[in-house]
Amino acid sequence: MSFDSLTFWIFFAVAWTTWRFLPFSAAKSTALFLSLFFYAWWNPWFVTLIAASALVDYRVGQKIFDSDDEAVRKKWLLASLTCNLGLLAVFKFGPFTVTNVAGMARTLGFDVDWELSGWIIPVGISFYTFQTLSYSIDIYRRALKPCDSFRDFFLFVSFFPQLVAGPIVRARDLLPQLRKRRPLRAVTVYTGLYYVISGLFLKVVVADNLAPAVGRVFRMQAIPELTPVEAWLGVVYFSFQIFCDFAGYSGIAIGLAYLMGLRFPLNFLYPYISRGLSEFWTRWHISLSQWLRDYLYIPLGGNRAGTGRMYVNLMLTMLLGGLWHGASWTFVAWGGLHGLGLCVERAIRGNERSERRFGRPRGVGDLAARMLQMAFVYVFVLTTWVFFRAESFAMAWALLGRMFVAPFREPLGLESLASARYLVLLIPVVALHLGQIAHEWFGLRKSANLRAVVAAVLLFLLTVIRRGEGAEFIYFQF
Amino acid sequence: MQDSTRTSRNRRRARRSPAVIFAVVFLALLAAWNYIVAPRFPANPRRTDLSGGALITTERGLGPFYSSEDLEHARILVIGDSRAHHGIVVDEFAKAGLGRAAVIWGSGAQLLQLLPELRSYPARRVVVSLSPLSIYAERNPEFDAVLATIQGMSPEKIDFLLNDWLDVHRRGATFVLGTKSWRRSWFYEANPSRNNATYRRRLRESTRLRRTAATTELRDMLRGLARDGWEFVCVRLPLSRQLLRIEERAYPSAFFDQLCSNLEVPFLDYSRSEYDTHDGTHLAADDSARFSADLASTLRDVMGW
Repeated sequence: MSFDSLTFWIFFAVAWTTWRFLPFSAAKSTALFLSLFFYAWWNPWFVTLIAASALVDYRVGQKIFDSDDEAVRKKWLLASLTCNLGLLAVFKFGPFTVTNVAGMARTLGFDVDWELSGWIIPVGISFYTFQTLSYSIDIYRRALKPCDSFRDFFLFVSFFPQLVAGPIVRARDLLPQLRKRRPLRAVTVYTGLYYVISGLFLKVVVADNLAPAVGRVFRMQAIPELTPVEAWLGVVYFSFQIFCDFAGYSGIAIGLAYLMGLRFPLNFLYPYISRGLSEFWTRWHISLSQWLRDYLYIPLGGNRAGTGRMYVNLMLTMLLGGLWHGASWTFVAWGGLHGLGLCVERAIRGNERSERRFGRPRGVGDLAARMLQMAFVYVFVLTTWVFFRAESFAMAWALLGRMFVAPFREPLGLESLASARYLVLLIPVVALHLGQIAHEWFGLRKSANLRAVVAAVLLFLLTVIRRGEGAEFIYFQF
Repeated sequence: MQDSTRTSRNRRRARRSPAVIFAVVFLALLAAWNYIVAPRFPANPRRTDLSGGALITTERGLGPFYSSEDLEHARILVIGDSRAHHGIVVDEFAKAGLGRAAVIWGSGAQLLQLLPELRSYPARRVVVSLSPLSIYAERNPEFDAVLATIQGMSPEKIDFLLNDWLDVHRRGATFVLGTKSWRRSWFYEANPSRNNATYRRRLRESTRLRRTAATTELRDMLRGLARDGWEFVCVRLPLSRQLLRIEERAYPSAFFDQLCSNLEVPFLDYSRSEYDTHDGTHLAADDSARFSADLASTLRDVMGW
């Protein structure tokens, strides 16, 4: 049941009505039932997996909180880590591990042919395991008290808007909101509708219509025939497709939460206007990058243990962040490239905070410098997307060759631009990014009335433009 | 008292205003679209009167081929691939006084497979739609996979399946759009065209030897049929400039000219004509009628058909 299907909206009408009008305790029980129903729609058997994960962390949380003995607390935390990371290791990385172990065995001369065929990766497993992990870690750090109701905790873990593709909501953000029903104010409804409409627009109009253009470029057979311009266009299309797909899903999830009177954290903030890589990671998949920062980078020592250690920590965090996205070495390479980029940026800028520098540009020179920084970061991110999307390193290298080497050896193929009609789809997304620049640099106020105009335009476009082929949300697989 | 009433009224107004603005803008855009933009929008560029036609089962098991009209009573036959199917409106031949015409076509069909079919029907005047892909192109593996699944099925089932898959195949095998036509097709094409890399691949240099062999075979076949009383006119149908550029690398116009003059068959080259395609390779609806009328009058007035 996908957010862009009619079935979902019928489901949501039922969920919203029961959430708003039943007594709050009954509303929460119904929301839990409906969330599990939502997940079971995809595969009923894997509901037991979420239930097991939730049950373990609920019990572990209480045990950690009840004990004053540091060794005992650590033991229970270790149990939570083992359980959650074990689930990920088995269900998400099982086939990857088996294939790699078999490969190593073959290299050592053993005649093995291990393969896990027909393996199903539970939808959303990376998201809900990170949510439950953060709960146990926060209690261990004494930053959170355990939830006293298993139903509320299970609802936090399985709440349908964020269950399958985030954003990664933390217990300390959502559990307090489940204590008392908040009144639904007009501004909350407007904001929710804005997020839902813009999310649907990004997904249905932009991402789905770009899907075929991207699919044609990321095919091993097609790559040698691509002109340099076609190769670049294909990767640019993918950069917009992945943004619109994921930001679209997150936007709808956040909007649904608003409509129910809840708040989810922001997950995307127009990442392609970033002027540095560290800024990019404060705008792209924000809930994941904050999770990795708080639960991996800082516990590893962050930047407090010397410069060399800081680089190691950055690399480790980004490599694991890459692996989180999928069981493939290309994802690791993608994370590694971002890690390297962050290290280089840190080496150049030192400890100066580069994130989100607001304010009006100081003259034309400053404006030009900002634009150049933005272009540089975009091209870097674009290059790394090749590894993210490619099915193998061979494909990634072949495509990078068409992008960076072919322009020096053969005609660019500029005539492809004349028929690059997909570029039209990028216009509204670029306009939304420019709107954010106007907001951050020139102080344009994001008033409710302005949002109403934007939402009306987007809903209009959603009404008159047909959807494309790429129906499934890309981030479901993560 | 009055102030507080005014304040609460202002608050209510402020609460309502985004909803009002949203509704007004949305409805205004829809109205503008409906009453100003849409009426000026060109008609659907794809032919809406097209159906696959009747399935022709061949003795040699080739195909699948289709016929658009009654082949037994046609005076003129047009043979070719899907370009002929989209580009020829047989009614225009009748209007020009040429009598009944019919199209035998196959998606990605090659002339070497189609020409032998001519001996099964009475018509002796044949328009051959020449294109590089109709002389020789690498097979489409997806399409072959479908063909492999239909062994042993009833003709109705095969017809149903093929129509379904041909539609997918046709939509998948449409190519880069001319700048003139993309504007028209944007809102109609749910599956936008492939880029021209696919097209280049099917005509790539490594196929040159096989293309040359196919050309020789085609020449012999046409010569044999002409000797037995068939009268041919070869036609190259219009296509977008981008695709023409790619085709010219493999088969320049001079090649077709040479081929036809060797056979002493008239060659009508429309490849550079200003007819619009809906996807770069198949003629748009209104232009297919215009083109067919133009072709029919040339056949009547110049060829004396």
